[in-house]
Amino acid sequence: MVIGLRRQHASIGSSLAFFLGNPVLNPATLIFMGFILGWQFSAIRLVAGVLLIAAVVAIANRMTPDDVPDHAPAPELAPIEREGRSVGTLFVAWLHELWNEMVAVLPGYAVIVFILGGLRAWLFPPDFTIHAAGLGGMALVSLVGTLFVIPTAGEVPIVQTLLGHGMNVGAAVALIVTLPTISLPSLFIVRKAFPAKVLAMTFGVIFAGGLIAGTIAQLVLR
Amino acid sequence: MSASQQIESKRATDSTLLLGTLAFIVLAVVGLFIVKWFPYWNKAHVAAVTHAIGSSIVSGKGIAPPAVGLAAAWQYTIAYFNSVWMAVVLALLLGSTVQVFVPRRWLLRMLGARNAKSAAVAGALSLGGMM
Repeated sequence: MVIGLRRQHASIGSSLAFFLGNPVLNPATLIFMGFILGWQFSAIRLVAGVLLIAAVVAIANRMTPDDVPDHAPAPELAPIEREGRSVGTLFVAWLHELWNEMVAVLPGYAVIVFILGGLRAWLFPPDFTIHAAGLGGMALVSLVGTLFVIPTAGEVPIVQTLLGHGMNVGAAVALIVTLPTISLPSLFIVRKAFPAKVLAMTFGVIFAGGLIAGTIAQLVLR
Repeated sequence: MSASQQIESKRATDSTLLLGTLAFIVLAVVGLFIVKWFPYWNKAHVAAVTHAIGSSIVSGKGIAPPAVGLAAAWQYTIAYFNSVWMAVVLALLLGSTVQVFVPRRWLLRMLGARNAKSAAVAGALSLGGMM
């Protein structure tokens, strides 16, 4: 969807807001989280999510000042706007885009999920995740959370299980902020939709956001 | 072509564009209802009553993930895609539909600006995605 938006010349800022808002502000996940982990977690996630999106969008718009000049020539028309379109040409164009997306996205996506899934024991060693605390521990947890991929709302049972075994509340918040937001596969999928430096910056901001939110939660909650 | 004919043809064009955009919106709403909104509505009730929505995809019921290796990789890939495949299919369909059936100038008016308003609109739209 983000690829489609960018091909349609939606701005980098709005596309990033859509890319990040989908997972991090997901209202359903916030509700599950409230019932299962407690509403303070949902509140932290909501506030952190909004702040992270605002930060990423603001920096991205500043980083790419010349990407779309104000008086740029009109962008190419979408197939439905072109002269001589018919149901047939539109259907062919649609199949073409669908096929292109599948080829560009699916194989790499599956391979990265496969690799990350295989490395779970190294990414989430129980001795470490349960005892992670302090700046160093929180940084490592945030890094894993930013890289690893989970299904929608998957972070809720993951964190529930870890909290049940005594995980630190700060580390739990770091995971809640970073796990769903971006991941190696999600960055791979949008790799051509954004400049590499924008994606690197996004990675850095989400990582730092997990670290900061975790540290604050550590101080505030209990 | 007379002025009135020109106006006629302009109208026809606009109604096709409207139809294309409508097709995209219907696909998004129906698709998201089936894949996301309805299942999540039920899941929210489960979460409210049982205070759980399943076990950790990383480590199951315990906290120790399976040993590094192909078995763990395969098991995770199956579990992950089993959970997200419908959303992936919908996202691919929506991605190609927005490119072909939504007029670029309409989308640009909503999401084209490099400002906070465009980003806020996109962020608000993303709430419905729940991906």
